[in-house]
Amino acid sequence: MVGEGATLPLQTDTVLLPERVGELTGLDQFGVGGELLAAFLAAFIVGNIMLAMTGVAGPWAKRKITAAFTDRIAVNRLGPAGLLIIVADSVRLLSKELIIPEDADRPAYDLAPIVIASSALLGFAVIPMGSGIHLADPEVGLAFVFAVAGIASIGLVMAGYASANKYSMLGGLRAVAQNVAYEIPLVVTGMSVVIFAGTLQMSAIVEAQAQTLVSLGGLDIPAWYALVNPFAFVLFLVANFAEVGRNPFDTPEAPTEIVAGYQTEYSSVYFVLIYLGEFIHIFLGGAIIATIFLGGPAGPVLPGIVWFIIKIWAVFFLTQWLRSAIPRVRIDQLIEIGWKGLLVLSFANLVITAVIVGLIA
Amino acid sequence: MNDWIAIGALALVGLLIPLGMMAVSYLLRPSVPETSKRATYESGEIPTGGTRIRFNIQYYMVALLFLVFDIETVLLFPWAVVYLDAVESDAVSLLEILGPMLLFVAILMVGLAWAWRTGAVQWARTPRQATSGSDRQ
Repeated sequence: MVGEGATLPLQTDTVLLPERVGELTGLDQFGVGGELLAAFLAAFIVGNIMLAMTGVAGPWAKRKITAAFTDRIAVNRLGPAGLLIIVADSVRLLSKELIIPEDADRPAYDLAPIVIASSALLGFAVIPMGSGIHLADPEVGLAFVFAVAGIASIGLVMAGYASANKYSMLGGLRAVAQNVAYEIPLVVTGMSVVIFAGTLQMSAIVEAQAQTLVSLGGLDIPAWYALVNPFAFVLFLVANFAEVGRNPFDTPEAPTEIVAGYQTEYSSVYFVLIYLGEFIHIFLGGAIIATIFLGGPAGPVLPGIVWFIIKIWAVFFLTQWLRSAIPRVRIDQLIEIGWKGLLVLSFANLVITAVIVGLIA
Repeated sequence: MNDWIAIGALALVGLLIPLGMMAVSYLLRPSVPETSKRATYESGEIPTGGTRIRFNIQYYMVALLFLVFDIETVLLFPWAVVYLDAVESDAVSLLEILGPMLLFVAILMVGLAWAWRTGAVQWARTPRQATSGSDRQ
């Protein structure tokens, strides 16, 4: 089992991206100012990788995947496989007129899209993406990423309340009820991984998963926590789908009931930011799943970053699959699934995991 | 290098990207003010009443429950981090490590059972829904 033999180091000494950037550009010779600039450059690289992957490729992939499920072709006119539609779309969306409802609560209405978009991006700071692309590695990594992902709820409530629209109001309420209901199963299930790894540090969690679980005919199966504890993996997946508001838990923006929920009154660049924030959140959820359950950037032959992207996209593909395949739950069902089902199951998982680890180790 | 400098840098980048997009949009977008364009959207109807509507008490109940359980997860995290080391060290018995946490979770589960029984996690029905025998639970 995990944790056998060598005890895991609490502080790993991997070289993080800001230091690499500092060395490459020679900025590390300029003291604190150079360090700050190197950190900023590294953050800029990470931010733009995620933006390119989520905001740019995400919506295109979403259209293509949904089309494949419903036997259509979707975008195919601009460029190969319609890829250039992304450029056209971004120009189109940014150049739309911004219509602000007359009753809107101004500062909050303007701040909400920024809160939603930037909080999601901040979570990627502690995610090890492989090939040395890892911005920061604090000891509280996992707690940090849960905390940052939770900030988006505030943005959703701000958007819902400040729009002065009944649909937005209901959407905002539903969003926060859903986020608080599924936040606890998510965190508690994440905690069962911490029991295996004995640390919150992301790089150490990834390292712990590099051990061999079993050898099948000379093929080493790594101790990815999805294989060590598949029950926790399934729980975490379900709670994650609810947390990012995807099917079957897309009740906060149920188009057949409350138009578009909290984003009903948003147009132009504000809509783009909220939409982008949602996509970054899906990918952040995928990144957390990949890191704590699927061995992070680990994988044979290909470089780490490629494996990491493959794993994130696998989770994204699953969300789009569910979107096409599973009907939405009602708000009352949503509350009951969260509080009566997932919460109890996640605590059961935590206790059973603790007992088993205690008996084996 | 300090990790939190890098995280702060990403927070800055995370703010600059939305602000940059807003700036680009400000330069690109037209502005055609018209009367009634800015009216609150209510599926094409003229909006009736205010927005601060009465909503289901359930949202408040689950928010209260959340506070309890969220604080509880914060208290469990330090325990989860030291658990593996404590189990492997042989300095303390398994009962000493596991027992307090099991008791703590058990107390919370009693709380949840009580909330369950009093209907705090059951979607509240209006008196009319309750008497008309609708299938909404």
